[in-house]
Amino acid sequence: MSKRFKQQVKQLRKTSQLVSTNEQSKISNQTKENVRKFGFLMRRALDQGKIPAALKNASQMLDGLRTSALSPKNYYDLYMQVSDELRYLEFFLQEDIKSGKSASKLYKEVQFIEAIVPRLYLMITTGSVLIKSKEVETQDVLSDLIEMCKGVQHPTRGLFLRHYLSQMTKDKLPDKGSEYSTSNDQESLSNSIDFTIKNFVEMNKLWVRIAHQKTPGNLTKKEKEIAQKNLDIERKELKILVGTNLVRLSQLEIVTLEVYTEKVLPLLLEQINECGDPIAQEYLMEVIIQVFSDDYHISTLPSILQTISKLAEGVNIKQIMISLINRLINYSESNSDDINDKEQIFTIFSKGIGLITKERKNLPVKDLLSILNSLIQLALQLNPKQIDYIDRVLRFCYNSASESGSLSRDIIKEINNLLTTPLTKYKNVNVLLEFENYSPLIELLPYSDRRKIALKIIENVLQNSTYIRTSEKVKKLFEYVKILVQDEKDMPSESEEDEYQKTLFLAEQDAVCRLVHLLKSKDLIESFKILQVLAQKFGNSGERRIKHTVSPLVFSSLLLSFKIRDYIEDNEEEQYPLSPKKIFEFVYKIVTSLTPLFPLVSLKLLLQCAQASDKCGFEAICYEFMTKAILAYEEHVVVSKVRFEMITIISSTLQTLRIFDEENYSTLANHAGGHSSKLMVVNDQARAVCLCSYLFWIEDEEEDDDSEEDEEEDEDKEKIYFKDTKRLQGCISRAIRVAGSLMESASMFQLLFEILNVCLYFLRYEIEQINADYVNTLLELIHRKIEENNTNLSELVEPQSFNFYKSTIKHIKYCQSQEETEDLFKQINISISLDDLK
Amino acid sequence: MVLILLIGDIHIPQRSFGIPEQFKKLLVPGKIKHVLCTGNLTSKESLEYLKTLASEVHVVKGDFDDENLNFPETKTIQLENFKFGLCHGHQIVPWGDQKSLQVLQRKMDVDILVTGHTHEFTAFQLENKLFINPGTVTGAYSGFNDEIEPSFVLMDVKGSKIITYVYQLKDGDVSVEKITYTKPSEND
Repeated sequence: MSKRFKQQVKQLRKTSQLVSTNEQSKISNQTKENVRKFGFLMRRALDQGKIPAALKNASQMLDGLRTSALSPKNYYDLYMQVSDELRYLEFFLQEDIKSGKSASKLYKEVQFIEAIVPRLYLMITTGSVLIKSKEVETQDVLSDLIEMCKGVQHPTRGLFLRHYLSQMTKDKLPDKGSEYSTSNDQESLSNSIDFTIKNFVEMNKLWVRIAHQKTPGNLTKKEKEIAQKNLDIERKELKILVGTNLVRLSQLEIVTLEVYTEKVLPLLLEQINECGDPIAQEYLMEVIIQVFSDDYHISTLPSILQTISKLAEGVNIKQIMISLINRLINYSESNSDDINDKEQIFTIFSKGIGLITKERKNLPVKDLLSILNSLIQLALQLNPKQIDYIDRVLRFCYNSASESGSLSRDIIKEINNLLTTPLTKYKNVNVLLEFENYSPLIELLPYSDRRKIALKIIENVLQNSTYIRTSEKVKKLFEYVKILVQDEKDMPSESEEDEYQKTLFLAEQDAVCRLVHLLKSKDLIESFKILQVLAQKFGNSGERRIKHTVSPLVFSSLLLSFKIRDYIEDNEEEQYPLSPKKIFEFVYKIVTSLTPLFPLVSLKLLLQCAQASDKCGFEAICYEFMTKAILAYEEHVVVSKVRFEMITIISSTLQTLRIFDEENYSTLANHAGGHSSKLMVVNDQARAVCLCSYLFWIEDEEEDDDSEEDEEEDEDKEKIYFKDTKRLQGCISRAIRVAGSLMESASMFQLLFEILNVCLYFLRYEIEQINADYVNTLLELIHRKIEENNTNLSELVEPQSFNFYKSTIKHIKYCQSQEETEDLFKQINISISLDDLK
Repeated sequence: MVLILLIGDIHIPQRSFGIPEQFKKLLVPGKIKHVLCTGNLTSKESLEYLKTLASEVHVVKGDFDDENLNFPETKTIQLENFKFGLCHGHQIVPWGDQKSLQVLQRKMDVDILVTGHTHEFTAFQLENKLFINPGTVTGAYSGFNDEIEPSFVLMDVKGSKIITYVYQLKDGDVSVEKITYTKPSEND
């Protein structure tokens, strides 16, 4: 080392002050250069077998570590370089001892080195060789070294020196089954624990003191702040040196659960508590939680939580608590059976968190909620059936959050998590419905978050196909998701909604509609109660929502009416308090009240109701539904195209009904026919009128199925539900007339072909008016119409229409060839038609 | 070989909360080439779902489909050697009547007529034409048939031969039935 440099180092050591960055890298480079130089000399001396010279070189090399000028990071780099060299030295000395040299003598020799830092590094190196030689008791060497290390009190120098001690002794600590333990009794083994803890305590103190190292005096205030910040960062980088001791402890076999509980942990916690340094406390708690095993934590939870509650102000308690809880969650996931007292764990945590909130008034609400969220996860993991535990935590959350005034985005996020965690864990909303404090917590959230959570709840029900089977539970569910079925004070007005919100609204109503089908009991009376709850909720939800929700409500009701009918049929002796009639009265009120608002939806639903009441055998009610449907048509349907669609649906529905007496049926059929003939568009009119022909010849298929052999004389009478062949023919004739009046020939032919097929349909019923002659007249009409145009049919109509006619004629031919239809069809003369089709 | 899915009368959300899970597991994307849907979806989501199953999705309008969805009343599709006709069926009176369906088949000039509306699987042949109703895939409520089993149909079309697989859900179990149909030559 040059004289100038030596002096410089001396100067710096005196002031114990860090120097500026530029200066530091200069010193660092020079020192490293010296380490390289003396390291080289040391190796050469060793290779030549000159041990004293080598030790001298080593001591000179180690002089570099005496500096105070370097930042922890720069010092660390230097240390790494030196320790590489020392490893070489140790290896060489060890070989030397094997060849008969005395290790004790060597250990004594290095103690004559003047400077303390080089002396202690070399004592540790030779001490390690001495332990390996087994010339003396391991514990004697260890206690000697740990005592001697007290001589260095400079934070950085001391910390690295002790780290070197720790590294060099890690494989030599007396432990169960270790080759360096001379006796196996607990007391002598516990020396390893004492040694490690002592080293840990001292290292921690030194580490904490780094924070108080002075920064260069010539800096401005701002520069000083930056320097301090950098120091903190570099200090954090050194934390692993301290933490290694705890890892060592956790690896010792002799640290049994008992030893840990009685001795190790109290000492560690005492040190954490005493040091009062936030960075150290936070880090060390984290290390304890991570390195010791879970069952150790379970046994010592109260004292850990006690310590956490007393940690310094700047410590991130949230992170520590979550780490601790997460460890237990992971543990109980795989070792659930090993945990004896699960409730105890929860209680200890509850108390611990209570204590923390008491001791730390400044704990941010968002952090508290975050901790509680982990606690809920733990409770769900330990015993998901203990609903009251989770509910209590939710209560606590509610209280904490509601006391904090307006909620920050962080707190809102935590509340969302608190609500979602049990939802996704249980996958069964019924459990959620047992909570008392779930909906109050939802209510704390702002509008858009309430919407999101409500949709999430329903989506969860749908994804898991969870049935909700009582009206009380349904009521409770609608407390949770009420935002989807009612206007809220804080909602934006409809005109403010953007595209996204409009889509969202539809998605929400869609979800509510789907939900309805999962709200049903096996008990039909209860099911009806559920529907009444829904009717009440939906009824007050406003037009915009009712438009969507009325349909599933009505369909669920109609399904229930069938179930009630079946139940009563199967249990005739029982006086059942509910009749399908009640259901029909219930839906009648709902649907008819909506007719002016949503005529088309309402009309279609009325027809559905008519069908159901027909099946359940309620004539008057069915008649009422049909009347209301026709009235809805008359009063509210104005668009021509829609009128056609609606009247055909009315007619085709009426065609399926079998409950009416002749008079009622006839009245309804007349109305359907009358409205059909009033349609404005001729095409529509012809088709609708033609369709009405089916209303006047209706076979009762069900009766037919049941007829017994001995009732044969009645069979004919029973088979027919309604017939009025005159009006049937009237419909077809009118359709032909209307079609024939069409100016546009392609449409006209298409219609005539359709009507022809209807005639062929009725042919099998041997109706007086619709017979082969009637068909022949129609075929002639078609022929005449073609002739009038002076061209071929294929020129007049689309190919598909042409093929339609062709296959109709082919069908006639086919029927003429079949035994069962031969008689009815043989009189039809298709020869002119076959000509037309050429 | 072309695999065709016949599906319809979905009625989500008005009459059902969803397609049964047992069916969803069977209906995986990538195998089906064409979807023929008989209508009454009755939401955009159902259409989106069908589009995940195959690139070619043909849909006709059911009596409960929203006007805005703009589906045609009928549609003809040529697949391999077959001309398929697709129609919901509420337009055909009496509903589900075989003779009336035959009229539609002639009108559309098709080999195979696919319709829905009755919520009941049916398949029959008349005068060498095939008629199929895949039923309702969700087991949706129907006013004229109160014992409804969810069902759909897969068709394996190869040249002039069709193998039809009918999937039905009975008491939570999926049953499969196989029907073979061969197109008669034109001379018949």
